[in-house]
Amino acid sequence: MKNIYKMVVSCVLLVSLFMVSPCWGVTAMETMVKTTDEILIILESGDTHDVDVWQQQRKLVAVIVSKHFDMREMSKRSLAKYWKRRTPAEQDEFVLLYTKLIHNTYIERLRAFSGSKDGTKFGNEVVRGTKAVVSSVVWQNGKEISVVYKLYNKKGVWLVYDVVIEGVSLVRNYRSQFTQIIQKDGYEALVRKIQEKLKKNPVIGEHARLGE
Amino acid sequence: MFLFRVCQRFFLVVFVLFGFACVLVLPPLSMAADIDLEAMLDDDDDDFDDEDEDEDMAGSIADPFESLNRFFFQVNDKVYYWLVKPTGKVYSALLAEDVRVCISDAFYNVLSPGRIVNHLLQGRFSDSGAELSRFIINTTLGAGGLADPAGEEFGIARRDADFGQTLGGYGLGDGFYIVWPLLGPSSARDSVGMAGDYFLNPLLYGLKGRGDVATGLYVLKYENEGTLRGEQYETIINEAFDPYVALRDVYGQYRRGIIINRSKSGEITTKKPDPFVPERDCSEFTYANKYVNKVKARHYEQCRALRGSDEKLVRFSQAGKVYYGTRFPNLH
Repeated sequence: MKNIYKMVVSCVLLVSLFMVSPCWGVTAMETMVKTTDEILIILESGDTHDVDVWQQQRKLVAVIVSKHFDMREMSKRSLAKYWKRRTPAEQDEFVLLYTKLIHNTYIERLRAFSGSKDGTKFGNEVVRGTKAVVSSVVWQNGKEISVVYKLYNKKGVWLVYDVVIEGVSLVRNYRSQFTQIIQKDGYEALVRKIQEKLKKNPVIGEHARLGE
Repeated sequence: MFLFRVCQRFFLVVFVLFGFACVLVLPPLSMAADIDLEAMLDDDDDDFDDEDEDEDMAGSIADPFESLNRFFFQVNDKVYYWLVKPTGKVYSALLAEDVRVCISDAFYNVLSPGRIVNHLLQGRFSDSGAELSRFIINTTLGAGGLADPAGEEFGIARRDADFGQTLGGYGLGDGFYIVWPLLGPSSARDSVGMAGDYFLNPLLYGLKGRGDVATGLYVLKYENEGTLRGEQYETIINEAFDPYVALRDVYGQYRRGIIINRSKSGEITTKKPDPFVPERDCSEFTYANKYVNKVKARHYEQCRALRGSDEKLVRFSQAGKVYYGTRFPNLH
């Protein structure tokens, strides 16, 4: 009797284990470790301060970022309730703009990190359903900076939909600004502002890719 | 002699202004150690596209005095770019970054009593004890806190705490957003907190009657912090579509994050290891095993030695900086 009881419990535990992690292959943590390593290899392939070298590196980093970051989901979350009010064509256009924006800001930040970088240390991973958070610590100027990646599982692939640096979510920060602009001047004004911003700091657009 | 006096006064005023303005550049950053991932998943806003989530979407902190705040934001911003940044350039040219970090550490050390008390008030006795140990070790062995042997040799990490955080832990909300002229972003609660922390500053009592020395020290502190953290402020402003809203949101999210993590995690040292954490080897710093810090490089070697490796890190310099690594990452 006791044995049957034990077996049932272990079966339940076993099944629940698979329910917790819907992805049998690569875990969220492994995805992030690999992504970071890939980006690192690119950043260390040459001096990031050299403009020509950096242009090349930036393109390569953009490819990796596009592969692991779900720009459509990030756009959706940044526009929040205003996303649904856009037509599919407008949504696609916004995703493209947003992708370029992320490349412009996030990848430039990676460049800054590469100069004074001591290392990235991955901490914990918590998975719940199709979502996961992965924590890491980046050393910069002798200080620890907390970087947490939020990922979700899309058909067995972990995709990043938010980056939280020192408790400040990238997506929420954009949302607070986008909301303010849309409420005050409308959606068109926001699109104009993003285009202006991109013009000021032109960046590779060819790797900006539409999400599915 | 008169001219000297005038110059002295002038520089004092400039440095005071510089100092105060530098506070506008974000509070000290070190929440890395105790991030509560479960809380982050709880906090995940899956109802982000709800039609009636109106106020929440506007930002992480209420702002009833927006026009006044915007005015002082502009003032602070101008003070930073027109006064703080130019003076900071001279200061940075005079003192190397390493020296400035040491000075920053010393000020951080002096303010330990505030952290010790606030950890106690928040019921985190081991953190309070750790800060006390850090204070004693760094004040004696670390030459008044200029060096950080507590962290580097004894492995006792920094644990930040302030009175605003204590109040937040007791359940007091932000209240509303305030931009103080020269002091920068704050909230109703954190302003009360700043006042509380003021009385926990030992320099207030140690330098009683020596207003000039105290002012000089404060100026040095803020000048120093400004040169170390001005870049962060500039990044936020440059990347923003509405710099005012961006900074307000950063402040709100940052303070909220600290308080949620603190109040939920309790005693940080008792944190259980997560069952999903993969066993990582000594190369926990995945970035090419390259260290700036000699002590960390030594720890790495020791860790490898325990696993039967005789790997030694070599000292090399790249772009004027000294690193310790297993290979030369310079590939060009």
